[in-house]
Amino acid sequence: MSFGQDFAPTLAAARRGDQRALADLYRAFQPRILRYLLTQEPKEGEDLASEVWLDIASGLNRFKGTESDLLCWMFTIARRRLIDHRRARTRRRTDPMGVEALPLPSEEFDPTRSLEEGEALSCLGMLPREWAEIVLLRVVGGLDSAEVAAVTGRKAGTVRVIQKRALERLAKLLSAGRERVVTR
Amino acid sequence: MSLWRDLDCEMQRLPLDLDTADRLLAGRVLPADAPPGYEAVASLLSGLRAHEEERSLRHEDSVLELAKGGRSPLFESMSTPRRSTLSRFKLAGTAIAAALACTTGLAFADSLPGAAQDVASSMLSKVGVTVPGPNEKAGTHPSVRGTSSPDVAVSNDTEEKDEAAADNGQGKGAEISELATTTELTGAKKGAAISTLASSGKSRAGQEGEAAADHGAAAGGAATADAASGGHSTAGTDNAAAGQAHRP
Repeated sequence: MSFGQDFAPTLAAARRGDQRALADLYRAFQPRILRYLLTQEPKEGEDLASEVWLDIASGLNRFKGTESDLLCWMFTIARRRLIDHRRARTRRRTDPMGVEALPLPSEEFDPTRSLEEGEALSCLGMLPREWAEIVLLRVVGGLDSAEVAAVTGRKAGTVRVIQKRALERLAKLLSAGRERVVTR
Repeated sequence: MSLWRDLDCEMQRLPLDLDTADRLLAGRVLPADAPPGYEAVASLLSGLRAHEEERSLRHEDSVLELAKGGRSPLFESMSTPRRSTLSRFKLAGTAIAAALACTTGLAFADSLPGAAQDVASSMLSKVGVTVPGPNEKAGTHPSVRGTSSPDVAVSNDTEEKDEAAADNGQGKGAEISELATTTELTGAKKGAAISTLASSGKSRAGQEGEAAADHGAAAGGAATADAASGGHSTAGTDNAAAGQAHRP
């Protein structure tokens, strides 16, 4: 959802405390923010999203910029909340997932069928965390490569190279998964 | 039906260029239109892109509560207390002020260690505050350890002792040097004279040597041998003659 011409009046109204304007912002951006957080922290994603909106509400008076800037600012807050959450959490044991654990497409696999959410996330879990984060910001957050670069503090060119490598790695992993189905 | 292996052989995965990757991630390429080998990737991305609007917006009322100025119970329970940067600066400033006040108080009470008291005294004197020095209550036994300045304040007695010792040592050295350069004695006698002067008469170096010289080593040895042999020994007396007799 994009506000277009309505963005500036909506933002101004939200900063004045207008409920409807703030609700519009929430409806426009919350699905992406929540999904971004849930894909990385399935259990605490909703709590983190609420904290993000608390930060947004308290900082909205100081914000100045375009709709793209607002999106970058919101995802920067979300990303920092996520990093803080991971730092605060006590170190937990993680079991690295091998290729064998990839979701296996059935023999009737249809390449045009959308993968289920769990399957897609399992595949993303095979990527390095920085790569997966960039893919999620692009796909789930709806940010372009320049906006992802602004959020993650990287150069736009670096983001473009990383996302290309991430897609190539995903293609390789999915291909390996399909071959295991055939050779069973 | 073709196996996936066959399909892979027919449609090899091509290298992906940056723009195509960008379009795939932006959702502008459908799985059916994806480059060979990337159909599954496009499916995966479209699976990620699917939204659950109902779940996403179920806390909308809480946000509206927040906008009204009232804190939503949801946010209150979820928010964690955070210390702002300003309050951190205040805390640091308070800690520094407390440390300064504590140090000044201890300096007034003359309770700091010698070096610290010295530093506190000199620093506070610059701002017009007079605190006792490190040796204020030391009387005749000031602390000479741990001072921060090289000009250690020591008592007059100690100085006098040091000066006397220094003078004493310097005068005696000059005297010994003069004896060593002007005396007409040589060898062991010169050494004995110097040793006696250096030790203020306590040294007996050279005295045993004099006795031995008086008696003569050969004479003493000959007399001893003669007494021990009941007059038969010729040691020390006939050697020279014997030496002469044996000469060809």
